[in-house]
Amino acid sequence: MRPLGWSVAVLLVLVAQVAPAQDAPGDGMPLLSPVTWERLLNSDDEPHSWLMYHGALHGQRFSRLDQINRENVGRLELKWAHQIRQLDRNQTTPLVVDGVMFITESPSNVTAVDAATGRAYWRYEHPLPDGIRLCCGRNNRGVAILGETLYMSTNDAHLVAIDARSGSLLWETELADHTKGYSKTAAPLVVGDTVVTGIAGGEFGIRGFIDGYDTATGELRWRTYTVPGPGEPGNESWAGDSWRTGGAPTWLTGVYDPELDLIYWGTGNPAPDWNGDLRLGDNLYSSSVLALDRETGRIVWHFQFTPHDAWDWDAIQVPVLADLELNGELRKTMLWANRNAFYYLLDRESGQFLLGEPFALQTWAHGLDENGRPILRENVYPTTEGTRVAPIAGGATNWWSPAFSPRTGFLYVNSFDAEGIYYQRDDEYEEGSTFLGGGHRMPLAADHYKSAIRAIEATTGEIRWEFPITPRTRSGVLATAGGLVWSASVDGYFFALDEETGEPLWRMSLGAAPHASPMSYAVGGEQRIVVAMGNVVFVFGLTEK
Amino acid sequence: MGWTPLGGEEADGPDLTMGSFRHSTTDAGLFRVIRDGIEGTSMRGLRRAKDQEIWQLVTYLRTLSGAVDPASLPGSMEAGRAVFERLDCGRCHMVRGQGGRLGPDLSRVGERRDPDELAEDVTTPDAAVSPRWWTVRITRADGTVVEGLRMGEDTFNLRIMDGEERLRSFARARIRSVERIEKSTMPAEVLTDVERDDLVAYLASLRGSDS
Repeated sequence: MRPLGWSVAVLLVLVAQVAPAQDAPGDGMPLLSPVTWERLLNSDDEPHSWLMYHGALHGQRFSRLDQINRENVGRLELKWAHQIRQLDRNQTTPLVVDGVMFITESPSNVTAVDAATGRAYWRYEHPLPDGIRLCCGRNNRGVAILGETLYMSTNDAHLVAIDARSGSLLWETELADHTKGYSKTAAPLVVGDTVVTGIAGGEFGIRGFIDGYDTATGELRWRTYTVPGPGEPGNESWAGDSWRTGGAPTWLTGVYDPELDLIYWGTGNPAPDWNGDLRLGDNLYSSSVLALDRETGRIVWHFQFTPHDAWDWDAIQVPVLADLELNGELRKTMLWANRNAFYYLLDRESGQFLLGEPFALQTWAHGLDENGRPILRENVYPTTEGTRVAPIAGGATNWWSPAFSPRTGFLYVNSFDAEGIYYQRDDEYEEGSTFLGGGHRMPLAADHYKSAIRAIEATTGEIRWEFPITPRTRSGVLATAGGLVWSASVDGYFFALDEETGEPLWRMSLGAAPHASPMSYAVGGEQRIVVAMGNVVFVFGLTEK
Repeated sequence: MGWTPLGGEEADGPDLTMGSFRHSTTDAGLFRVIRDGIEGTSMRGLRRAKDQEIWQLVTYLRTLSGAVDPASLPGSMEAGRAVFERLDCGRCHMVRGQGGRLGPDLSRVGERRDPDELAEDVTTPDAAVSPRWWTVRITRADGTVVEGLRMGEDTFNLRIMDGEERLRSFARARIRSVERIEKSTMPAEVLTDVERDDLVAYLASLRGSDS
């Protein structure tokens, strides 16, 4: 078995190399041309921009730019930095469109800056009401764009449309009542003329959903609940009325396959998190990936990674789409390193399970059966006394983006080997209050465990190399056509690794922990590498020759 | 909406006279902000203050907005909207997502400008022009001239929106000269007193979602 990647990758790299030089920054040429759907479909062809949260609809977080490479990465220097005004976690992946960068900031703000200098054009601050229920901080991860309109989630569970040239609010839509525990943190996804977006609140007993809105007006086109109601397939997987407070939020941006016309989106934990006895059954479609019809939002297929999840493992990862050669046959696949410590390869046309292998420490399953369902070990569910299981509730990985390189066929994942102690307790749903059904702790400090950037061979699940980093690190990964893999560590280092070997080739101490995923763009014909660490967005490029 | 121009003129704290507050919509929320501060900002809480003192501050803040009921103004909001449309103000000004970008967004102008200020704005637009709306005239090294509204200016760079609403960035080192025109680009229309009052009534009615 061999990944397709090579021939396609070589072609794309050549395209990047012969792309016409851009105007020199600072010459005053008009910036920011409208982002058509065609541009979004073909974003790989214009790697100087970064047009959506994952960089492209396939979710690979791979940049075709190769100016910065294994030979010259030692000449990297800081070009500019953008200080964020809030001290909350900085989870942004900026977008860059023709020389203008859009940076989201906590809690629900966005700034437009010159991508050459970092200097600001405008800033939009979303007013937030009191009483917002957030499990995990006042986060915002990014915006989407179509035409000249930005789309952004806000913590009060609204979706806003903002004029990309001026920062003016164009329209605003409330998805759900924030006082009931609904909130929004993820970048939306533009698909055609629909903006697709999810919801957060799995710790508050919400009923999760994925929505599609008219990009021009903000009117709701479709809503697909991730917890089926009575009479709908899957409702029988919830005991009694437990579906009403079943959680299954959708707080990370999904992806889209234009050939199959399917949207793919991960779902979070069932509620309450740690007391599965209050919701007996598989609890569809929690901790799953859903394939949705673009026009209607109808669920075409689903795959549940962790049936009856009682550990809060979610399936909030990026569905990474790649066409791989398996047993001599080209398959449309989906790569998924799950928070439950298994790496999955799925057929993305049908949802068929192709293979699954652990990529990090796990003690909860003997393995996966022929359908990908876990074969559970004994005594792994939470108890009142506490049950010791790996991975931790925070997972063997989490929402931080992985990266797939078509050059190597490797999926690069930030992983964590550790065990947690899971407790179950009684709980009763109360609207707007946390609904957890238990708790979790790590028995030892994180220093006792291990974080690593791992290169997983996509077609086999084999770990080809790993680069140990200080535990526990919360950073995504970027791969670039210069043969480099970029990530960051909790001790404040931003670094570049050799894509083939994991050898560290460059590093810089930036002095603060990451909570985001790097990206790349080019301005004036020069490649830039971007990472958000601490409360700063750092932008690197090569020194002048 | 909290649009903030970036002309280097910002103070650290927000304007407390706009009638709306970024971190709270209720008196109880204002109380909490004053007592606890706002994490991540220089707004520190008054933890030693007595509750009564904090409530007095809340009451005082509520008096600052000077909110005027547009219906109590002499002009007609509906007639003012017609004046707004006749003068094609929307060519440059955005109201709730509709309109141009070459003037301030007026979606909530009624919260930040009182009727007297609005009257001055529409009759003598050059009286007090925010630096964000100054015009800069840039002569490039090749002698060509580009004009636009001043979106940002710093030691090394200038950023403008040109007359076709396009964003442009200039490095000072690459231009020959820059001229600053501290006047409004808005034409001083001759309005009758009635038209002025109507227009002011309409602008004063432009507020948050309840307007």
